Amino acid sequence: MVVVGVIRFPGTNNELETKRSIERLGGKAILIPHFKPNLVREVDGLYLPGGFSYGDYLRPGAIPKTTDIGAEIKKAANEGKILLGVCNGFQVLTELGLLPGALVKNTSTRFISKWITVRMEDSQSFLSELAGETLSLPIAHYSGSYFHMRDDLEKMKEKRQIVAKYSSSSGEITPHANPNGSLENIAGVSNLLGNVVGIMPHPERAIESFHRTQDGEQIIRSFLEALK
Amino acid sequence: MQKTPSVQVPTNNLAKDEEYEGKAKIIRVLDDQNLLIKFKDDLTAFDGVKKATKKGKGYLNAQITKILYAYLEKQGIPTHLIEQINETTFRAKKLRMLPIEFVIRNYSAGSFVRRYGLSKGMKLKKPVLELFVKSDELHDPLIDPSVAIELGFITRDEYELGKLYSYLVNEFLLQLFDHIGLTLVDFKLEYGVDHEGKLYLADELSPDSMRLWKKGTQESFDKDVFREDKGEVIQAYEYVYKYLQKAKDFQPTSPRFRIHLLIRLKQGIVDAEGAVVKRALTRLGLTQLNEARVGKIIDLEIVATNIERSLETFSTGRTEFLINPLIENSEIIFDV
Repeated sequence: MVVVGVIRFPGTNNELETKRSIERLGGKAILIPHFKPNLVREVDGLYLPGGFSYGDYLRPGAIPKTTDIGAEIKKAANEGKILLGVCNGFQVLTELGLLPGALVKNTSTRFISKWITVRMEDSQSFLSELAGETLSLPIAHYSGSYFHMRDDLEKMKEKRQIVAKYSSSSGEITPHANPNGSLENIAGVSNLLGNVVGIMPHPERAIESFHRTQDGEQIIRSFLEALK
Repeated sequence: MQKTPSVQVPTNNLAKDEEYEGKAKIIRVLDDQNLLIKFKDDLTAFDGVKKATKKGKGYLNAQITKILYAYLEKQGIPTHLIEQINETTFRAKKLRMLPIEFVIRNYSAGSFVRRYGLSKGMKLKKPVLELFVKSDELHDPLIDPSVAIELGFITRDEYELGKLYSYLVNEFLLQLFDHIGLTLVDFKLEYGVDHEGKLYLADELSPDSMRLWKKGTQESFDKDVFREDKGEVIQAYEYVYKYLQKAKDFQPTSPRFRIHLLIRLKQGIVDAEGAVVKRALTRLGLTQLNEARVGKIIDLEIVATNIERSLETFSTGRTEFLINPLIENSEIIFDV
């Protein structure tokens, strides 16, 4: 059975529902605290949940770059392991240099916690099978506005690295559907190989029967499928 | 008709096997990276108006420079000295010399006294740094750092690092000379840059380029003895050399310096905090406000035990995690 490592930095606060979500869908998950970097080598894939790694000091996701576990995560990605970063996990992956671009403060200047819709894009990532689906998921972030240089963004589009975009419930990409000022409504991206994905919305918060939707299940299921 | 002042350092234009004879030294270029420096017995003062030859002066200056450079190297200040070839000759790195002299003053003396109408020997509350243009033709005029940068004599980074090194060299030399009973009144430093852009202390460091007084007095042990006909200049230089030799194992207390790293979001990146601050200030009546942006300062205090290594570690660390170059700009300010 494949095992998912759920990374827990000081300040991570989504690790328990993440672990539970994975187990709900038949996966096995272990928590990997930041001080046990070697555990990263023993798992088949990594899920970097949300929260505030190291207090988000300097910039969200910046400090893990200086740590041993940060180096192990990078190694795992370069070995081709499957990595999914959610919210702060996405910020960590961009700061580690594993995903292109950066996540800057929301243009509204506010922390945003609400339900949004994303349209899954035709990407070459492990979430490609969800292309065309619209998923209703929650976001909760202050720095979630996706930014990149224009030329680099064009290259990303060519290489099909855009994984998800904020959309209307019917799947239209409109300025109105963009909650945080992200460039071209981008809500998730992947690396060139497609084994590393970051998304701002939280699939693990849309899975239980008492959640508003269970759309997160599709993302976590695809993630687990990719590990096999 | 206007004339463009020449601030080219003559030795910068030397090709392989070419020589240049200056007032106190002869430079010979060996190849792209090496040159020879021979210390002459000649003494000059007042832009070369007063001249003399004192046997043994070249030897003493070579020895004193070697001792002081070795001492500073031990503290992590890079110097251009590679090895001593003979009693009066060094092999040194061939550098692009900056056309600016860095002068540090702890007490008022020399041109500083004349320029500001001070009395000689006044202890300055804090050491001061003055920059001068290296140009005999212009009589080495004082220059404001911002003008030196604007005219392209030095870059901002060269100035910042030169300033840091100069103050730290002062801290190290003050202690060493104090230990041998001398007060370091003021001194001049020159810097050069290698082909990779690294800054080195260069030229020389001797009683020709500094003022030394016997502690508690204004008795000179430097070129002022010659300038002001105050006795036998060689004896003064011999005294300095003799006592520096004895202080070979002197261990200074490491000074501390600060790195202020200013980090700003690039133009075009939404600055939420700046936008809120702008609204707040507008509410308070600052209606002329066009834009407010909020950045951050990272303040680091570093013990100067090995400055070169500290700065190297810092510059890689900085680009790798202290700033995100995709969205942020940074500026370094040193403070001693």
